Amino acid sequence: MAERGRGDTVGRSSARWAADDALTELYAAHWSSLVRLAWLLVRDQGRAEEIVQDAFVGAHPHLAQLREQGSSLAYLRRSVVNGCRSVFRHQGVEGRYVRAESGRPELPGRLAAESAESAALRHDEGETLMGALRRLSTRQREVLVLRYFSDLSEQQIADALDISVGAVKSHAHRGLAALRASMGGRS
Amino acid sequence: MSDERFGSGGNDFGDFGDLEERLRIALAQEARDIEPGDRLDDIRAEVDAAARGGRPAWLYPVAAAAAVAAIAVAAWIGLRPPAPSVPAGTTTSSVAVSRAPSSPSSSASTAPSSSAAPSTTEVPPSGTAQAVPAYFVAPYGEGKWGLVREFLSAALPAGATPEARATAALGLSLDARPYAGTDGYLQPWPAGTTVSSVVTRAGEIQVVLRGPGSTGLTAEQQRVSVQQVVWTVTAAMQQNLPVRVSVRGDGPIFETMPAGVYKRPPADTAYTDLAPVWVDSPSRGQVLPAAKPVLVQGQACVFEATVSWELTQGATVVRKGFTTASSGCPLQGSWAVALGRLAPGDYQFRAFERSAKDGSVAAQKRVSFTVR
Repeated sequence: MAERGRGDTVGRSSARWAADDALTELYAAHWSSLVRLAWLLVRDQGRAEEIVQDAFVGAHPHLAQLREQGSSLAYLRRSVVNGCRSVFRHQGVEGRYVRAESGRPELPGRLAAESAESAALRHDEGETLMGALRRLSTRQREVLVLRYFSDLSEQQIADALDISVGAVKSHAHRGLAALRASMGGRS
Repeated sequence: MSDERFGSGGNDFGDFGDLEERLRIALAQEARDIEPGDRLDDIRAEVDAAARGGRPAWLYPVAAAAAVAAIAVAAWIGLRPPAPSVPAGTTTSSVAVSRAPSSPSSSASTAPSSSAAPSTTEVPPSGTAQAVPAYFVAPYGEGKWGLVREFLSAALPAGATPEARATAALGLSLDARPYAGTDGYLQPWPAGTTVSSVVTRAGEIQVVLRGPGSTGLTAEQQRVSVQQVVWTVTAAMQQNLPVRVSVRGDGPIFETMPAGVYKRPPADTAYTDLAPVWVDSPSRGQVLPAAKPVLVQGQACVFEATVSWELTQGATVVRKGFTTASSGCPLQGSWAVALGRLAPGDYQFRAFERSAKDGSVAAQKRVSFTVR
């Protein structure tokens, strides 16, 4: 193995190697689920992919350290949620969500204009629930999506959103209550 | 840690009947409708640009607002302890694994309607196919053995814990038989060896196997095979902790390898564990669209960072050349070969290192893929 043991420029590139390696593994494991998480929050696939891409790029310098701490996914998820919220903040309207849903065909990604086939297959109740979810506040929607799509604990949600566990509980409670109310007699 | 989940039954903010479960199903259905595009190359390009100082790190696309998020996150990395991990040990039951190879650069998704070959990945309704890293013990050079990484598909529930991912990945890596014929991987574990448990405790990952490794292996094969467990679980969990490997009913892992704590070596000596040449993408048997240029990517720790390659169809060499990895040994560097658009057909790509001494092939990795 002597021929492989040339010791040059180890320091910095060693950290870079660890970060690149972690990036490849994280991408394989979590790219799809994070894009789907972002999509549930912003309802625009192109935008969702951009947000997650930025999260990976932004995390890259820290990936080796994050891997040591075992907190890479939590870090990425937090960046993604922040990125999604920034989209709204930037546009100044939460109504963007609704507009995206109402369909602007020139935008990339899946919008409201889903195929007739999948619309027909989609469970009517699911559709109603998703509609109700869209009308919740950003926080409530984030909490419910992180809980019921990403399957996070209260503590993990609190960390992801940088709020207290008590706040997580109260957003969850209000969000669920609002969903139940808007489901009317169906619940 | 008390049960912090406000899951079904007994939650502390009200009774919502089956609303929670209905919401869970609706979200899963909704998310399944989108098929995330592949942006790994874009991410790598941006990372490279940032590393070269080409573009200030605070000028990434989603604009100023994202910078605020980045700062918040950067503060968090320093100030926050890692998120508490869910108690493990309860997490190994719901894992189904399948053998379908999975590419790191193509999403392992549940979306149907691909025009490609029928997928062999079976996805239970509650799970999503996730790519997990599995390491195998591969031969190279004369009588040497090193680890190569494959991304394989495992059906895991959406909220699978790191321990569940590690259990799935390790379970796949313990069975090299599907690849023994094509890649010559060593099968150091008796057929049917499975993972008993993976738990994180006291700053280490504790792995219990249901049985010991095979007898009759060389000391180096035994050592690399234990490292196979270490690299697989730490990669799957994205957590580089020491790994305590033991076998049910005590006893050693291999004849000369006692149960105990093992670690990944530091990056500059990783070559002692790893095979010199890896191919990350395309993954084994991947079907690529004829409309898009083919990019082969991998890692290598080779002499003067020089990776030779050859693209063949059957016995015919279609093209060959060499490329340079981003760093030379002792570090693994990344390399890429842009093959451009290829005519539909079955291809084999071989990346290899030539010996500095006599020009013979010192190490190689092959991957077969299809363009259609």
